[in-house]
Amino acid sequence: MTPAGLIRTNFSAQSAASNGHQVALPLHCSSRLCILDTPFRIDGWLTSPGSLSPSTKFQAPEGISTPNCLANSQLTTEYNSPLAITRFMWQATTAMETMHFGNVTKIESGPYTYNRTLVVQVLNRAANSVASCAFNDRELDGQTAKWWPCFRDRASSQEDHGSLLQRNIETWIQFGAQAGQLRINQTWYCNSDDGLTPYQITASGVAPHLAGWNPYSGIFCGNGSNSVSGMPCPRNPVITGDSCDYVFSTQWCTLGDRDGYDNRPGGPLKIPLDDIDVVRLPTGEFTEPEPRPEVWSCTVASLGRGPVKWTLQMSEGMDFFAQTDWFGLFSDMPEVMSTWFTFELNNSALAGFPPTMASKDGIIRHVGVREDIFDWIGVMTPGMRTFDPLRLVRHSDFGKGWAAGWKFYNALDWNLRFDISTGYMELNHSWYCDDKNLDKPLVFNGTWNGYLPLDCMWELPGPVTGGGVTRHGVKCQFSDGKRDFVVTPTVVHRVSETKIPDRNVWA
Amino acid sequence: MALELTFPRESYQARAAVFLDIKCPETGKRGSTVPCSVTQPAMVKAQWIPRGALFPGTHHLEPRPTLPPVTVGISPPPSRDCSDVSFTYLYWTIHDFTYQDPRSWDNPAATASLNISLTSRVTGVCVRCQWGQGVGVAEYSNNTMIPVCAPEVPDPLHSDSTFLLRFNTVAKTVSIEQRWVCGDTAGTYS
Repeated sequence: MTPAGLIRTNFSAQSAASNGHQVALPLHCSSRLCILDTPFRIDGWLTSPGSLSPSTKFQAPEGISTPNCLANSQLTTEYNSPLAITRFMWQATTAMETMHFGNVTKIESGPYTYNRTLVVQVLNRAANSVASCAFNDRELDGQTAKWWPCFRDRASSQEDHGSLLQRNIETWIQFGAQAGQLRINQTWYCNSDDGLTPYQITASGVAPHLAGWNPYSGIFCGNGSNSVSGMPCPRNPVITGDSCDYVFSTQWCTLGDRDGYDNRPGGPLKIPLDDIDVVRLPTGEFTEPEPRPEVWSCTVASLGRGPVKWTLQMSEGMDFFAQTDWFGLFSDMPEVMSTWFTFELNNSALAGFPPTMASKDGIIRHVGVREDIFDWIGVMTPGMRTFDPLRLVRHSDFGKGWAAGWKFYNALDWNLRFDISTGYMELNHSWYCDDKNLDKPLVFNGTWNGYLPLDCMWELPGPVTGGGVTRHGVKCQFSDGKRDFVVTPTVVHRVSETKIPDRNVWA
Repeated sequence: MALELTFPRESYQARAAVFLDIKCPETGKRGSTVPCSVTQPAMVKAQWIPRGALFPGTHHLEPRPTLPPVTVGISPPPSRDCSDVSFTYLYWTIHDFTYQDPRSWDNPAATASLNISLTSRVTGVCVRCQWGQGVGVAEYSNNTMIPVCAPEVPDPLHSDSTFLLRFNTVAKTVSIEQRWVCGDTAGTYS
């Protein structure tokens, strides 16, 4: 009996040679006897569940063959530590706002954090590698124990998806601005002296002189301020002044001279290691490693995990799937009842996409129709003369000037038709995977059609605080209070004979 | 109280049936908002107007048939999932090969024999394939031997591997076909 939920994948393959499936054997033959002197490898061509000729070539981690890598990695004092900070810059800017109303009234607010920057560069002298990263995250404003990734993986940018890494030099940064503490944790790799045995080294340490922003450490700190006046005030739904003045105050600390004016040296700031862990890895770990289950593979997720599932989820921060606004609630729109809908498409093939600097996940956002695109006003609303559920909603129609909806390269497109009067939807979505063959990616096209289980409620317009009115006419949510709906698309795929050029989906 | 609202506008019409105490003027000036008063706010489950009911000929989306999902299930779970490696290291290693053809003009009754041992990198299955020497139902046609393959050791991943080998006795070439299954160890794919 098959356990519930256990899905296995049928595979088939055949030998692959340049001229077909018959592979010539390097036999040693006498008059009546042929033998093979040494083991002979025959490469295969996958025929099911997809047509694929693997060309995966894993790269060994950077610096693994650096001379004396292993010995130098295990030096822990500040003087000879392999880890050093070669670049450091932190700045935080706060702003005071003064909002003017005419010549008399004004409101002061702040200070509030305007922006912040943390730039760190870590040199590993044992593996001769450099990790460099810059952060601008609100969490840096306060005291946090968060570890920040300071490394690239294969999906972190458009250029990176050429390299296939099962193991990567990983550098993590923990920074507290208030205490002036910078802790580094790094994992790197070294071969043994004979080059046969790989080792994994994980070490951590605290930059010694940052605490208290010691001026003799090479760390220099300073502050300054500047002001601007008569600026337009930011849009505020409650109250907006005629003009605004701002005073910006900045604190900064750098390794060496920040601006280069007084030519003071900067670094390197060596980090004594207070914790080090050296693990011997299996021979061949970097020449032909067994794939690690936790490393996401687009190809495996698309072809080797049973049927692909799409989860249509209500967008983050939204309490509806679709909404129809009352007549003419917006002064710049015609007086029709306009329907807009938005949801997130969570494709199981892309759901394992690793968090990167560019994208926190593999979810495709902003799928649907926006309300403020003039061409679409009234198109999705039953009863309007402009109602046209046959009209194809295409990603390309809404990508301009708006977030494209994803920040990773695997997703290609989506389009759909949606009839809100019945909840019937036709959804198409395509993506590609090149993690098993960079030169011949697999292109997947999925389609699904069916009815979304929606409950729609009339909500009457009425006054709200601030003098506006409720905008909702009809608000549609998934039935039973659920936030998502899972569908099983029909997916076909083809082999692209060429690489798929990167498109700028980072808008 | 059932109340039916009709907005007499030139370019559109909408209609809703709600049970509310609403007071609205029966007509409104074109281009202006119609002032209505509601005694208490409420939400009412909406039924969208059926397509074409108001405007015959309005386009509508004709549903297509929905295909049922196809799933494959088999047990027991393997000790290790070979899915990823199937896409990554697809090759076999022949580590033992012997082909003998003792036939000659003075010994025409002799029969050829073939022994191949190979291992699949993907599944770890090691098989021995034989032709001749009275083994199985070995086939031979068009100078091609199709040996009978049997595992030399138990299938480590319960992959249900099957092999089909062909050896061309003239060109000394071999082709390999393998079928197998891979799956998760916990049975939690979905």
